[in-house]
Amino acid sequence: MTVSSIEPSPNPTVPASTTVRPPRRLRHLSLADVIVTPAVLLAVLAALMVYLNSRELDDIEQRSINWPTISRLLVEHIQLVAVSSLLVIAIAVPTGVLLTRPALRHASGPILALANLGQAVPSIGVLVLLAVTVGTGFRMAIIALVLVAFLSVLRNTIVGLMGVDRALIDAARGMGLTKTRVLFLVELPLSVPVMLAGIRVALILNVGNAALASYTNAGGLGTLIQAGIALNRMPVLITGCVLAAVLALTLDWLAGVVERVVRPRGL
Amino acid sequence: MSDTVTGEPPRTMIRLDRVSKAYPGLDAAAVADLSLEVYAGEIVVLLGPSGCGKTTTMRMINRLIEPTSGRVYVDGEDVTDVDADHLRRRIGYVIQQVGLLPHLTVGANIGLVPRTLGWPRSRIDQRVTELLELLGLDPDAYRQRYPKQLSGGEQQRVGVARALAADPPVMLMDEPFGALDPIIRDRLQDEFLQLQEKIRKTVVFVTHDIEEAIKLGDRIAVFRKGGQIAQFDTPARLLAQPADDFVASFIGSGGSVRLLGLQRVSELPLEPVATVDAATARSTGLDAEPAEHSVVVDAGRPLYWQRGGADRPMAVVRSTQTVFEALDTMLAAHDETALVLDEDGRIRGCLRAGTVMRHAHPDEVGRTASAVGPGGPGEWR
Ligand SMILES: Nc1ncnc2c1ncn2[C@@H]1O[C@H](COP(=O)(O)OP(=O)(O)O)[C@@H](O)[C@H]1O
Ligand SMILES: [Mg+2]
Repeated sequence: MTVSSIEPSPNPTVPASTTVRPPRRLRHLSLADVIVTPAVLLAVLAALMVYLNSRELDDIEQRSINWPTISRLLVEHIQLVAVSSLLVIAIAVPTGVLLTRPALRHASGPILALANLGQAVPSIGVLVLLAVTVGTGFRMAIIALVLVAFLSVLRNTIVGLMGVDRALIDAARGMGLTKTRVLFLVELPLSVPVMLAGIRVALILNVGNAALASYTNAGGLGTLIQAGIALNRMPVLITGCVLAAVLALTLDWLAGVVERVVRPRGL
Repeated sequence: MSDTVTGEPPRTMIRLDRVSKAYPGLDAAAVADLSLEVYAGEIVVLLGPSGCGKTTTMRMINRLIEPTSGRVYVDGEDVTDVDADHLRRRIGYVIQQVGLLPHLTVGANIGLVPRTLGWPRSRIDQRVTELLELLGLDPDAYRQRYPKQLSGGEQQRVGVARALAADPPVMLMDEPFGALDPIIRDRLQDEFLQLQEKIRKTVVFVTHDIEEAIKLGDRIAVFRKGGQIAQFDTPARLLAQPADDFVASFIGSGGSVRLLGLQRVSELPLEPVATVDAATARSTGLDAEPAEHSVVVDAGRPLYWQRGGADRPMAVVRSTQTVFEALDTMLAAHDETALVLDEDGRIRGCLRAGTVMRHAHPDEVGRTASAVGPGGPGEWR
């Protein structure tokens, strides 16, 4: 006897037992990431202190190596970096967004090529050129820093936005989300990792280039380095260099932490 | 099935009126002067080889692509110039790549359109739960997951749920199951048909797979290159009467046999069957000549044809099975008559191979049993 019948297609088997927990934000951060870099940086600072304490500082050295002076230069340096970096982000990200809109998309290719080229321009050249043509001081230094770091953020913004899966944008538009909503809900969040990488590079560039800014009378830790060289005082030079390096590494570490925290979940 | 059978005048839900699309830089138009009507509640499949303009045609309905000329009507309204974003919120959209936002949970993905429409939070949550259940996904297990934690089949289920979120009357589906492996694809097709039984959406479904088109489509529009419709017909008529060589070659051979896969046993006229109790059959022996179709039963359970004797296998099918399956069963049993049972296992009659031959006509396919069954017009032509 051959009885056959169509079985209704089996219910989709749902693995009910396997409840996958959503990844937590902090899971992007391992303990080593958080701890190791600050520990190393603190050790470097401690070593600098030991080195300075082991020496009798002469008058000239004491004029530079004292807490009020150092803290003033440090603050100046951080101001240079913070203001220039914020300006870079505020200008380069919207520019990148504009250049990836359909109307201007054809322009983003050439601009990317230009951006790659522009990154090869030595920053000291920009600084000096500006000092000669525009003038010296804090504002001029900011302009120079922005000019030099701008391209790396612009480049990564464009690359990040262009790298967003077209199918995602198509699906979102197809559901009736407006272009603006798609930009803020889909495109920007998904290009955050690439954009942040560019911002991180910009930060480091700015710390380093701000050290050159003292040549144009803009203050900062470069003042120590410059003085160390001019007066032939090793401890002054070393203090300036080490502090600038520690600042760069600290900001890089901070940016890394931020990068992991704000990276969208589910990626 | 199609409204023509029930006699109600079909309501047009989507109408393309001589639409064309010419992409800049291309010599020939991708879609040329195409007119198409889709009735409310039916699945129309756009079928054709790759690059023939199916996607372009479909995307002109929700204006992801703006027609170069022609008008588009949805539910009687000319939508050619209305706000496209608002239009799209009334039209479900499912694509092959699914396009779930990877940084949003399943629940947030499904809730996107309702959120855009400004639904209150509680109503969105409720709707998400409802849809996950409808698509066979446990809401508790799935709503907090991220898309990459789902299999391909699960992702597309969520894709369909998301398209259904605001309960749009129209769904556009562009090769939604095309990227899935055959087994999962088959299952999702079955589930989709079951779902459509419940929700009765007007669906435009794009595929290049003829088998998928036959399985899912109430009507199929076969496209040829240049966005022209070569034939727009029911699957049965397409199989039996391809309009030209292009359609015939696209469909492939064996159309008439494949037609049988579209026809239910219940749609054919059955012949009456007499039942003989097993005890009676034994006591009567083989002396008396048995009636033509008399089946020996034991407590309502059919055992064998009285004529053939207890040793001959008997072909038994359900009325809900396809004629293709019935013939297959008959071939396997070397029997030209199959006993037909209804869903509850009660005897409904018997189906003879000759009946299948006489009724293998596309216009018969899809009719209800009452139209052609016992008591109805017994013979076709
Ligand atoms: N955005 C576009 N720009 C230019 N040509 C396109 C575009 N989209 C599709 N086409 C062309 O239009 C024709 C039809 O494409 P499409 O509608 O995607 O076909 P199908 O979905 O049937 O594979 C193809 O020749 C394709 O190359
Ligand atoms: Mg296509």
